[in-house]
Amino acid sequence: MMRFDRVSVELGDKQILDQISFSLQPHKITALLGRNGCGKSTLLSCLTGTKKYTGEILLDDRNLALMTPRERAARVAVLPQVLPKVPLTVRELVSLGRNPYLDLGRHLTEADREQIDRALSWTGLEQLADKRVEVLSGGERQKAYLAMVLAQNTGIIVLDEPTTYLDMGAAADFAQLLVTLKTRHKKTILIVMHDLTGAVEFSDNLVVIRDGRIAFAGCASACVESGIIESVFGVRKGTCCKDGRECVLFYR
Amino acid sequence: MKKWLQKTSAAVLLLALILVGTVLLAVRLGSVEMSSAAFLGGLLRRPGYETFTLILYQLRLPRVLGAILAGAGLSLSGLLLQNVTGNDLAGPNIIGVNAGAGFAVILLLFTGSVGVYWTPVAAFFGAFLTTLLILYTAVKVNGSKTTVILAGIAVTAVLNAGISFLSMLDSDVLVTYNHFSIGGLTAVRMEQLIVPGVIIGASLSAAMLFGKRINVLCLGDALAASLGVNVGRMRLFALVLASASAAAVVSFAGLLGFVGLVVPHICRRVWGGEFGRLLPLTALFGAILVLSADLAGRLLFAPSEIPVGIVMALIGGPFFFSLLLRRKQAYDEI
Repeated sequence: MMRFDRVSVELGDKQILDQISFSLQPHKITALLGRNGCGKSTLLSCLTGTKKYTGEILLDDRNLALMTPRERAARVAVLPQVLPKVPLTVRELVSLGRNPYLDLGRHLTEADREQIDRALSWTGLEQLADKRVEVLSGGERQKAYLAMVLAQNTGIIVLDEPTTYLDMGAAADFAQLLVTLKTRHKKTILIVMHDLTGAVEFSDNLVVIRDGRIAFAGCASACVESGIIESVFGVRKGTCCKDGRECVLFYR
Repeated sequence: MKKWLQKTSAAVLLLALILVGTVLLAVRLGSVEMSSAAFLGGLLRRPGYETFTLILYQLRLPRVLGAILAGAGLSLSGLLLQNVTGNDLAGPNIIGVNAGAGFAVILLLFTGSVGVYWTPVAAFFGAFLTTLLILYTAVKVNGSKTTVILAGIAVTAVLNAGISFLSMLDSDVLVTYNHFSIGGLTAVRMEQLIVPGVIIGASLSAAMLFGKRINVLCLGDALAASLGVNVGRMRLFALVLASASAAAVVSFAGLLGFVGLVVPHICRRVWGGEFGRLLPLTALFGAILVLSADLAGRLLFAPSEIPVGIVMALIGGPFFFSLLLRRKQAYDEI
């Protein structure tokens, strides 16, 4: 289980994150919500050690900051918001996901290749495996990077706005893929989202950040009931019927 | 491109064969014509062929080896820099190699306290120490690739101003400096190549050993860190390798421009961007390119010579330009 314990980040004299504490429930999807600039991406940067912070991030009661980069990378995969157009093929990119497991001079083993093929298959990218990433569409590129993260084969997957470039259908497929990863492959997923309706629909838990502080952390239905989302985002809540069941939606 | 040529081993083999062929041409051809018998006699140091032995071992072979080392070293440096900074336009000059070497050489010439034989030593340490200064400054700020580039621009500007100032004070110094700054392999001696050869060989080996981790740096800091790479340390390591190999070349070939920028770019277009695969291919391609350019410079207007730096720019420039146009077409078709 991963736990954020009083995590704070200062940039100059500005407090970006202030005493953030919450836990990720194992094998569940947790959506991280908040308005632009509230510190969501900064919080994710703490996970890769690229941002200095105070407080602790604990992984099974071990301090993440005290792990070696490779040890950390074998347990937590973080996909940031900006995904560069690199001159690699999709397969080469996905194979980079095996980096935490490769010692100096070691080449990919058969098991590594199987993991890479599996990641390509889960994301439906087999046909694009030999295409260069720099010529893919935004949505395809996002999937290719997700496949890389899946090849990393970590228990915890952290995604920063992964559906930005996806059309509505692709975003729904993507959400379904996350649900499959959670249920069938027992992954714990933390995902930064701006689609409030989607977040409530597909997440088990919600963490809402307002001005660098936790406004809510708990199960999605309790969050919806609390009215926090309306207050933080200035939206209104409604309901609709989807496939015979009632769903919550947010609008302005 | 043919499918078989995309395989690394096939491409390495092909380039190695082309390099061997170019080496044979380069030692055989020159302003002094040699028959096959004279060539073999000179090569095997047979009695009666002393002149040819002298030409081959004192002039042509050091020059050929120098061209191979210069091409491989600068290409390796450019490939490392482009990968680490994520900038296709990066070359050894952005980490101060040219400005550092140039300033050290002109300072040496200006003070006149030691002989010109110390020029290679000054060039190497000028280039290497300037890079270390740039990296130190960048690491002190935040160690990001943008800071490396900005620190490089600032330090280079100061050193270039120093070069201009010193060259204004003494016109004799300017003449000698110009010769160094154009870059060439005319007077290369075998003993000059030993230390640079070791440095370039060691840099290439280290880059191969750490190739997988250096490759990950092209994804940017956040992703590389997420994949278990100690980004700051690995970037610094790669930049030191890039600096050492380029400084080693500058020490015997002068400021040979263009190679470090263009060769990795061309190889990436042809064989993709996977760093580990590109390493041997880029080194071989760079060696072939510089050796061919030097050969062309020797033969085109023999017995006069055009410095290899000028030939490189004349041949490589239009070729690079055509590649860019083809790249634009490819993007337009998407």
